[in-house]
Amino acid sequence: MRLFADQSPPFAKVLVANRGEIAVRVMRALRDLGVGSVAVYSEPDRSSLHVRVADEAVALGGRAAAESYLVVAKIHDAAHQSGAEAIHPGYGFLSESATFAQAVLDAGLVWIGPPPEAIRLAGNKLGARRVMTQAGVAVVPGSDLLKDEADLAAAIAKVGFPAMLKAAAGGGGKGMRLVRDASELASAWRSARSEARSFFADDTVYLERYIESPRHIEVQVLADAHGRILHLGERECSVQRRHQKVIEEAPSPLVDAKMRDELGRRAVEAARAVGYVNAGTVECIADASGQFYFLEMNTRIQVEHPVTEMVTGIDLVRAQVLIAAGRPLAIAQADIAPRGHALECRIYAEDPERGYMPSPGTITALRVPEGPGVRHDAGITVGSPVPLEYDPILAKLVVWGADREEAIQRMRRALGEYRVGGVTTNLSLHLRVLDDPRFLSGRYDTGLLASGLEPAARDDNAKLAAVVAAAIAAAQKRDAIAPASASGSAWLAAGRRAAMRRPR
Amino acid sequence: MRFHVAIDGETREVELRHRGAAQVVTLDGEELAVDAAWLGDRSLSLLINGRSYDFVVETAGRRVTLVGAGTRHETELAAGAATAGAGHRPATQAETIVSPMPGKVVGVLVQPGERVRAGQGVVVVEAMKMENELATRADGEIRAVYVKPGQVVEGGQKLVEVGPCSS
Repeated sequence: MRLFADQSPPFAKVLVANRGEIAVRVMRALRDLGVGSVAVYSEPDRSSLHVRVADEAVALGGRAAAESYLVVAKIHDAAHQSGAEAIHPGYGFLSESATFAQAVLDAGLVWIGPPPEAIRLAGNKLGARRVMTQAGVAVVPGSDLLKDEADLAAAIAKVGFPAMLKAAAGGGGKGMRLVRDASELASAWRSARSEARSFFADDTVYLERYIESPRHIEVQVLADAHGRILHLGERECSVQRRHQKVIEEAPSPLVDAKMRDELGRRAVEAARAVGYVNAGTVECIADASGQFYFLEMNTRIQVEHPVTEMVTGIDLVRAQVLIAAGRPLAIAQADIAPRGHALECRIYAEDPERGYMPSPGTITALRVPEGPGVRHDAGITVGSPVPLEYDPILAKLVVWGADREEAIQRMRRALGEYRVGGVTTNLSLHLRVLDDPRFLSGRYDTGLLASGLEPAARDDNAKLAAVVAAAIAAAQKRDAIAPASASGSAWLAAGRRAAMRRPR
Repeated sequence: MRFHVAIDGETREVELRHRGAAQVVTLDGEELAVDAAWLGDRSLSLLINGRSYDFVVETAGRRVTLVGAGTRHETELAAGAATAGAGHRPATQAETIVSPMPGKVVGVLVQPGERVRAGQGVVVVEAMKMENELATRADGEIRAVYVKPGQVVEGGQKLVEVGPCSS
């Protein structure tokens, strides 16, 4: 199956306006295509992996994202200085800024993403609801924009409690207020509008039925510039903590072949309705009865795109680059059939045993899982900084199996091989989810993590081994500090040898 | 060499010796067949009674953290005599709450003189796009607040002092 008839290098050089694992992921696709890559980096990222993987790198200066990766003029200058022909934004940062996309086009560069107008349409929640309703796509029952409290009362009469007041221009959970009964209505109205005004300079709000602990299921679409739109099946993203996805899988345990066709067809209609081109994601929620509603369209590559790649065999980032170069898709919907099952665990620098406290630092040791069916997309190596300024994602561990059971078993195995030193990670949380009976049954929703997991199985052997290891480490250290005090012990000799292998 | 290792609030005794060419480890009086190999200065492979364990070892002073297969064990070593379990702090003592990481103070939830309960949030520090509420470990009274919202703090920097209630 050849996705594009012409797969020759479409550009000489592409600038990747991002950092961490996604920047590395994009650069790998570029190199696979024979295209050069340009990294940009902030001060804390000088020794980060994406700078080392790139062919060229341009310093942005600044530490916080607002001083570096979010400064349009700096990205611009870097593109100009390096002679890059196109810009790939990754996810986050400027990836969903229609203004940035337009600025890239105005500078005569190629934007590896959807047209600015599609970003704008999909980015306004209320506008997107209207477009989807016109296209026949089911949205969560709700209102149009609410002008005053009389509008609100009429909307509540129709939608019922509980309901959610949402900012039309909203995102990231801002300008949203849950209303459980009539007594909360007035204060929710005031606070949602004032928050919307201060965050988005737009106090337009609307009302939606609140669906408690839904399943979060999304459909990947791929659209070329010539009117062909394909869907690549769905991903289940219901393992979440505070709306942050933690584990994703494809296909969804809830979705059968018939539902997949139906969801896919709706997603293609949704993409067509906003004039979509390039890779995009149509996010849906499903309530307890299995009814699906359109939630929003994400106009960028998603963090969890590898699970779709594993089951379809399609490199989505490569496809993004070729579509941006104007190449037509050479396959039809019937050529796409998901095979097997894929899981992704997001490896974050945070401590699940201490309230998910972030754990910035430097990676001092790393052992990466390998072997059949395992893929590791990382933004780190030994020596990499994990700056406190940015998102704590270190890597994505992805596995493929012939079926869901095999994939889960492989993920357990891979997580067991994984070792990270220097920062605390959430590896133990993943193992606990993989042992949860609800996750194993495939019948789980976004309330899974909040409702609490069983504590990790106690392994007393591992604990005793840790005690022995601590003593051996102490013996080694003592020897390294005062070697003259040592007897001829084999322990100490081993310690000395190890000490001599230290760098510097 | 003999070590006292505190783990999960209990203390274990480990003795490292050699018998001829062999290495002998005794854990709480029980002899174990142990073979240890360092790979670089942080990776330790252990064979204990034939079972294989693979740890990343992180040492900070007397604290040694062992990262194993999906596990993370934190230990503290006492040189010489056995010590009691680590870290118990009576509520009658002053407590200094420090920032566990570099970040920015985004909220101060208490004022000097205010009474607080164990587990009550006192300061919110933002790092890596996440807000982290830091709490007291014991009931008491706020003696001093050292930081203001918006202030950038280092890891280990003092945030709040909590003392026993004055009345």
